[in-house]
This record gives sequence, structure tokens and C-alpha cells, in this order.
Amino acid sequence: MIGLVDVRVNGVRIRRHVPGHFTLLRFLRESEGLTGTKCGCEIGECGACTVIMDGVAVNSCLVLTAEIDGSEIWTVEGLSHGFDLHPIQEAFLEYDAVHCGFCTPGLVMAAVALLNETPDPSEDEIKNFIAGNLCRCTGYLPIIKAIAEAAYRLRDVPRPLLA
Amino acid sequence: MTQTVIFTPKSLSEALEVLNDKKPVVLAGGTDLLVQIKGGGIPPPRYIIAIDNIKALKGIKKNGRKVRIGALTTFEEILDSELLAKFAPHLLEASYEIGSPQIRARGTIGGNIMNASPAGDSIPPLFVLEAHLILQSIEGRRKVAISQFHTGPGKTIRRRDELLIGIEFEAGDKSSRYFFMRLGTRKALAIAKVSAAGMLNIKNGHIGKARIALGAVAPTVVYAHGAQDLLAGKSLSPEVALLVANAAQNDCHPIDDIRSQAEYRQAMVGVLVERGLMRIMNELNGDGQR
Repeated sequence: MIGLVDVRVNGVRIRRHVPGHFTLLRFLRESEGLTGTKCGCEIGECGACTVIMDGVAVNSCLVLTAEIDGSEIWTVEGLSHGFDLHPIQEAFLEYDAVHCGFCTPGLVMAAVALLNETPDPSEDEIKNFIAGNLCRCTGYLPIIKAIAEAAYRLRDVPRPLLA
Repeated sequence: MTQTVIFTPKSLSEALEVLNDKKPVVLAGGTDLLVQIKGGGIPPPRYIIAIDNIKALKGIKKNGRKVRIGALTTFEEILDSELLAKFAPHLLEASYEIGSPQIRARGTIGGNIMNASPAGDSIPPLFVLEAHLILQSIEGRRKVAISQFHTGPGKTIRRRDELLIGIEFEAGDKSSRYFFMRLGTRKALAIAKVSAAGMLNIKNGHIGKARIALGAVAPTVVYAHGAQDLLAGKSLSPEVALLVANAAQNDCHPIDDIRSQAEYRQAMVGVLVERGLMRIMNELNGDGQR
């Protein structure tokens, strides 16, 4: 079943005929070519496909395209401006919070969602919020430190962080 | 799923029409359904009705003593509810243990109930509240006690033209105390090996009504009848907690499966019930209400 979806992705309006049974993940990667959002487990366990939908972090593998009509989606591609990285991305680089990189877009988007709601999170709040994102390389310490540092650098930036 | 037709109604009446005509599979969040379809646990449905966008089925209200939770309320919304923090704090404890922030943002309480897993985290807390489920079809509406609703893993008494629209329970008072305890392999994203919820009415140190419900240790969530009978009329003490915990072990019939073993589950039922009761006892001591 092909349906028309009318959404905003990274601030740009998109009207597209796509199969309704496509997941949001497949829509982003295969229809829109936004391959920054990674396809990991496709069952909501790993968080690699995390994007922000209407202000909250969701697993894009568990959302049907039929359901996204009228919504506002942000992916990792919407963070930087050309070569100017977002402060969260910069902090991930500086703290070596990236090893193979596969979990990184999902974790960065989870961090955006966390800092939107909780501008000054405690270490426990950071840990609890990234519980749905698995990293199998670096361990989580550099990631937690990077998010804490990004929170500090973004303390005076108005919310939402992506708009 | 290429042949699947997906309906996305915006209103309840529209949804009930589709349910009546097509008998579709209902998607209410999708965090279980899409995983089951992907894993081959259920065949790709001919029709899916995705009801997440029906705003009227969201939210939490109190009317007199009745608290009503819309079926499409997400676990994140439950965690943000001051009303439920007051009248069902153990449901918040359970909601916090569900999935991950991403799952809680999409997953709904109605979906959790309809998925009918014996390990469904929201179900034991609703058992001890003696909650009722409101089922609606174009024919009309009926209320069913949650303890009468599930008939086995994945099975309920819902007719295929009916939709679960809400959950209703009577608010407790100052004498009501609650707990929810759960054991899983890890805190996030692990399905419970065992869970236990409790509600005690305690006045002047004496237990009136007591409800204990156990998850993942029988084909459906069950009341621990033996444990409940033992609690009535008693005062909480470490000795009583142990006695009741032992009784709760005999109230369940766990199995061996990929997540755990029957013997371990049975032992842990005792541990969780004892911990829950001890926590209530300590809260009361802290309050000076004992």
C-alpha cells in the first residue's frame, strides 16, 4: 500500500509517496538517502536508529511510515551546518566517545533529546537516558563525559536545540 | 508486509467502523507488534489499524474516586502524571522499568495490556488496583475486570470488533500502600523474569484489604491468593513478610524458558514479595504512622 506522507525532515518539508509498511528507518535511508541513521537490530533493542520525532527520541525501526504524516523529524544530518559541527558532535570527538561510529548517530540524537528536556542532567540522568543505546566498542564513560560537557557548553542556548 | 493495508484513523468512531468491517490487527505504539511481525512470531497481517493518533484515547483523568487512563497513554506520559504518582505510584515504578526512553515514548499502556504477555510490566500494578478495562465496539461498551481479561500468553477475551479504550480504577486513600518489584537480566530493555506488585490498606497498624499480583510466573498475571489471605488482619513485621513471601511461592506456577528457570523464578517470587512488604513496613515506620 503506497501512501502520501507530508513531513518535515531536518526542517525541510517533504511530500512523498512511500509504502505505508516501510518503517521510518527505511523511509529515511532508502527513500530520502539519509543514511546517517543506522540500521542495527531493527527490533528496538540497540538504539542505533534513534531519531527525534515531534520532540522525542524514538526508535525509527519501530515507527511505520503510515504514522508519520504531519510530524517533524530530526536526524543526525540536521545537526551540523556544513563543516560546523553541533556542540554535541564536537564533544563526542573531543572525548573520544566514538570508536567504530555505528552507535554514534543514535547516541548523539538521544543526547539532543535528553538536553532538550533536561539542560543540566546528572550523571545518573545521562546513564538512564542512554540505556536504550548500545555501544560495543568504547564503553560508555567517554560518551557520558561527552554528553555532560555538551550540556555545559549548551547551557545558555535556548530550547529546543533543533527547531 | 508489502500486501498489508494500514488504516490510520483520527477518531474513535472511524476506528470502530474499521474494526467492525475488517477485523484488523491493532497497532497501539508498535513496540511489540512490529517486533513480532519482524521476528515471524505472527504472520504479516492483511490489515493493520494504527490508532496512535486518536487523541481522545490519551491522557489521565480523575472523576470523583474513579481514575481513568486512556488506552493510548504512553509510558512516558504515565511517568509525567502527578495524578498517577499520587494514586498509583507502583504503576510509575513499573513504567520506569519498561524498555528504554525510546520505547516508553511510543509504547502505550493499552498496547501492553493487549499484548497479553504474562511478563507485561503494567499488568500486576493494575491487578492490585482491581482495575477494569473498558472495551468499545460499534455495538456498545463493556467493562471487564483486568483479572478476567487474559486467558493465556497472547490471549484475551477481546472480540475482534472491540477496542480497548481505557483503564479505570478506584483511587485509594491515605491507608493505601503500594509496591512494584521486578527482576530482569538488566534494568533496561530486558523482559521481566519475575515481577510482583502489592497493595495493602493499613489502618492503625492493621492490614485490611491486601492484594498481591505476580508476573511471569504463570500463563497470565495471577493474584497470590494464599499470600493475600495471610496478610488480612495482620500487622507488618519481618516475620509476617517472610511467611507471606513463602505463601506467594506456592501461589505461582512458573516454567523454564529462555529467560529463566522455574525453580529460580519461584524462589525469586518470595524475595520480591518480601522486599516489597518490608519496604512498605519501613515507609510506615519512617512516617511514624505505625
